[in-house]
Amino acid sequence: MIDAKNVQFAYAGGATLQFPDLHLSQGGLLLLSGPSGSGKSTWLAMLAGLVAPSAGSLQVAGQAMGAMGSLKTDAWRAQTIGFLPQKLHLSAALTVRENLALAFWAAGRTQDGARIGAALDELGVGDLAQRLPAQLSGGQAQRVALARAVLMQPRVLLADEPTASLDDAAAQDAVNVLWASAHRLGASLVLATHDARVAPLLERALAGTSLAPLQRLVLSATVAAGSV
Amino acid sequence: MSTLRFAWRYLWARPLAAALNVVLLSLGLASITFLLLVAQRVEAAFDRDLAGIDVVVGAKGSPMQLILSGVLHLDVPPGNVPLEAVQALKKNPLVAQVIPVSLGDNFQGYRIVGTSTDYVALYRGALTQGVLWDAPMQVVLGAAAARKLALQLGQRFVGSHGLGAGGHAHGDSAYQVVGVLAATGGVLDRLILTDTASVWKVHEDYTAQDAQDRQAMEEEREVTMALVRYKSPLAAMSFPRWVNTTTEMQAAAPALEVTRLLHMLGLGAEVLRAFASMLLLTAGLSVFIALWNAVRERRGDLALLRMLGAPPGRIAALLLTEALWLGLVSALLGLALGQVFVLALGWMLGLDQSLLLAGALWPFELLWVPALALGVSLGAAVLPALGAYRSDVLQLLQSR
Repeated sequence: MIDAKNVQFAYAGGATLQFPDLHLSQGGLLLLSGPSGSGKSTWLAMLAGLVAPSAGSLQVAGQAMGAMGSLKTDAWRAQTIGFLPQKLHLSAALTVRENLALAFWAAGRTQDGARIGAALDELGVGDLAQRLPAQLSGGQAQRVALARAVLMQPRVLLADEPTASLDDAAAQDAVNVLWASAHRLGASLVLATHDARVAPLLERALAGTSLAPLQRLVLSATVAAGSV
Repeated sequence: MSTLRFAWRYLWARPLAAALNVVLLSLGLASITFLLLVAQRVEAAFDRDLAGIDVVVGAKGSPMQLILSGVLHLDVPPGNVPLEAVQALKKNPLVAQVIPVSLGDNFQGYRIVGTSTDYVALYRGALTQGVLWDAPMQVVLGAAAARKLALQLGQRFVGSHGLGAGGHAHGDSAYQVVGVLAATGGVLDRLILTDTASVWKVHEDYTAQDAQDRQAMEEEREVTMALVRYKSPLAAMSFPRWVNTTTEMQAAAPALEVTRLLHMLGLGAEVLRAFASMLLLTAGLSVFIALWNAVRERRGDLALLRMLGAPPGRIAALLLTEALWLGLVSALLGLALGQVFVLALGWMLGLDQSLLLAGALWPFELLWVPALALGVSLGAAVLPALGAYRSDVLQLLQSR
């Protein structure tokens, strides 16, 4: 669940951006787009609790953003937010399995080997557990990164440009796997993308289900009224 | 704990940089270890060999030479003094004990020291074989001398003139081995001990033309010096002055001369210490650069850890732990290397039986080495860790 009303963010330079309102129910699907400079990074950062809105109310998975201390926010993020970065950021020094174990370390939790195995198996990369990221294909690496993102069974899954530089077949595969993972967890999925191929792929995945339709949020750099 | 494990993996993910830093750091630390050990051993050796000797009385000349030759057996003596004069010292009420020392001959480079059995007692020498001498021309071997010369009880040998190997052999006066001492770790180990009278006998046999000649020589008997123990420490105030002013001899206090010597050696040690510090500083800078680059390279990965819920402190701890591993590995390697350096030095200079005892020692001061290692590596890691602490997470994750 994501609920945004009158959200503003004041940058250190002085400008304040106004973000559109949004209501996304739990398990919903959101396509986020906007030109660079439209505040996409900021919006994702606010969603993950890395920065707090300067005005308005933003609720993510029932939690009001900006209401917790920073350590609590970090713990909340570990539990609630799954993130698939465009560049994946798998640690080259660690094996696939250790990369997932790193998520437990980051969350400050004891490592659960069975859960790591299950997450890899669900994405069909269980037999790659002992490989180094350099020994994976692009598609395999993305699945490993996705396994890491869903490892803590987050309520919200954020994916940043998951189809960039993929061919049509790979893009379709990536979108399907993402949607299936989010659906399995009952997590809301936020997909930030410029890629026009993504929306039709998602619509097709939703067709024939009783799920809420795909929502879109298009950001444009809207300077908040009253700010310089 | 997994912070330790992940830090270890990240450290060795860049094997060349890690190995280079370990080598640099451990060389610096090895130099420090080396300096600490040598200083400690030299001082211990001096303490050991000087114990129980309050003052040394011998021929006029350099007091330090007197100590170096007569007590530490490292130098040649300044000259001889008449036996009579030394015997007169015993009558002084301040003196508790006088041990004569006569130098002049050697056997294959090991000094033959003419003295009394009190000398053995002074250094707490204990026999492992045989007995102490009770007549001239009987010798007792120090442990190292016995081992190197491979002499057995009852065997005879002929000494040569001078204190180094290769002097003129004293033809028909042969010494006989009657005892072997246990190792003391001190100067006793590398000496061949005999009665004072042996030294006279050898030289009189060698030079005397007839009985009258011999008679004349007996009257002019000499010793090289006397080791003197006071009855009370207060004697140090007056006894040396008394010797220096009223006799033809000089008195040298070992403690004073060794302090002077250590002070002179100290200048060399200062230079070495400065050099070792430079090495450590260079190593510290190198660790800093390596970690700084590691943080730059891994900025995205570190930002992802924030995204996965790691508080900034935990990420900083990861980097500090990485530096800690580097320091720990280097400290162990540096300590081992330093010990090897000391053993190599002892072996090369042939000091392994005297000043530098064979075998590794672990004095308390060596705790400085791991402390320095951790200090340098952690110090070098602080800035990179702060950099990681303050990263702008999403910007980094999205940067292409």
